[in-house]
Amino acid sequence: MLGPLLTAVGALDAAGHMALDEAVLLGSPPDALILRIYEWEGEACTFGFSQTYADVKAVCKKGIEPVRRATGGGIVFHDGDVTFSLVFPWDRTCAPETIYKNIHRGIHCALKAHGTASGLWSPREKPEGVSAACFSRSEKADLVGVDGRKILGGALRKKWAKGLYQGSLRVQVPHEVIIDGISYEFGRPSLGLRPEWLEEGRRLGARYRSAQWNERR
Amino acid sequence: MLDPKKLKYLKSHEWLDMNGDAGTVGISDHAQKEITDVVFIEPPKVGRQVKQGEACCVVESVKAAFDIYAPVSGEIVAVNADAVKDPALVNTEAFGKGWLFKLKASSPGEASKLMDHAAYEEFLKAEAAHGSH
Repeated sequence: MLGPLLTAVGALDAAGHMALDEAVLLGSPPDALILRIYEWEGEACTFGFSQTYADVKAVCKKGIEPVRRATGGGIVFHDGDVTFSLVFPWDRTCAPETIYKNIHRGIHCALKAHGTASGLWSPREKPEGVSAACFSRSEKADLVGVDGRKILGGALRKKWAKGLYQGSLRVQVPHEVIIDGISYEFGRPSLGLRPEWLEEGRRLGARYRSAQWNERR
Repeated sequence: MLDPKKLKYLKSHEWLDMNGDAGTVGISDHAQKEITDVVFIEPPKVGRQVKQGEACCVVESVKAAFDIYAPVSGEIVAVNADAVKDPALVNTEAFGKGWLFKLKASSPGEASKLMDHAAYEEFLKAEAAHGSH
């Protein structure tokens, strides 16, 4: 039982969202399935755990301070995307590709039901290297639109037996589509947050705003 | 290359090679296959004190970052600069040149709590039988 929950988080900046995701990942029970659909304070930019700050800063819009994610992947410009995160049990040996496939297949089904066609990207050949910007290239199991352009990408972090997925969908859809998409593969997620996770998120926010975190490489 | 049968293992798929109080840590061949191409390693700082089970290193494959845990408590005494420079070593030589860090164990006996190779193999079989997401 998750106990009393709060759902109203309100709009946050990038550091606030990254911190809250980590707080949920660290604080939730091992079997919890928790979906958060972000509300943004304004345009934002996040980048992958291993990326170099200077490289990201160079391509970010003036006035927007990029924030390093705990998850992998590339640069994401949050300028009208639907951003969401899922904390889920990752208790068995399971390749990231399988997790991407499961989440993205669910969103694909929900988008289809909503009247938006998409497909899981399955390249004939493995692309070379790593793409710096998330949406500049599709990776296996990303969702692409009918024109072949990537519309959903995600990034993962595994901590013990739990996983954090952070996704960015470049199609405007009602939140129910995301909820339905996750429900297809994982069952109905919880949308509520405990007060102590919000408190921990506020505490962790200082780290995600710090140069020590964002400019660590 | 180390003999996988002589190593100890965690459920999170790290291996430990213990010689007295000197431990070498990496991830198993099974783990490297699951996480696919390793593109980045954030090693622990040399001199850092870690407790058994503490997250102290990060390995990133394409779009997924994984915490790596200390199999025993102790002090980090070396990190694998070659693997940091060429993370693919974790994929090509998980039990050899792809090691991640070395530590001086403060309680070497903690290693006895870890799985031996046979137990790890059984653990993997049980996981496979349990299915995947």
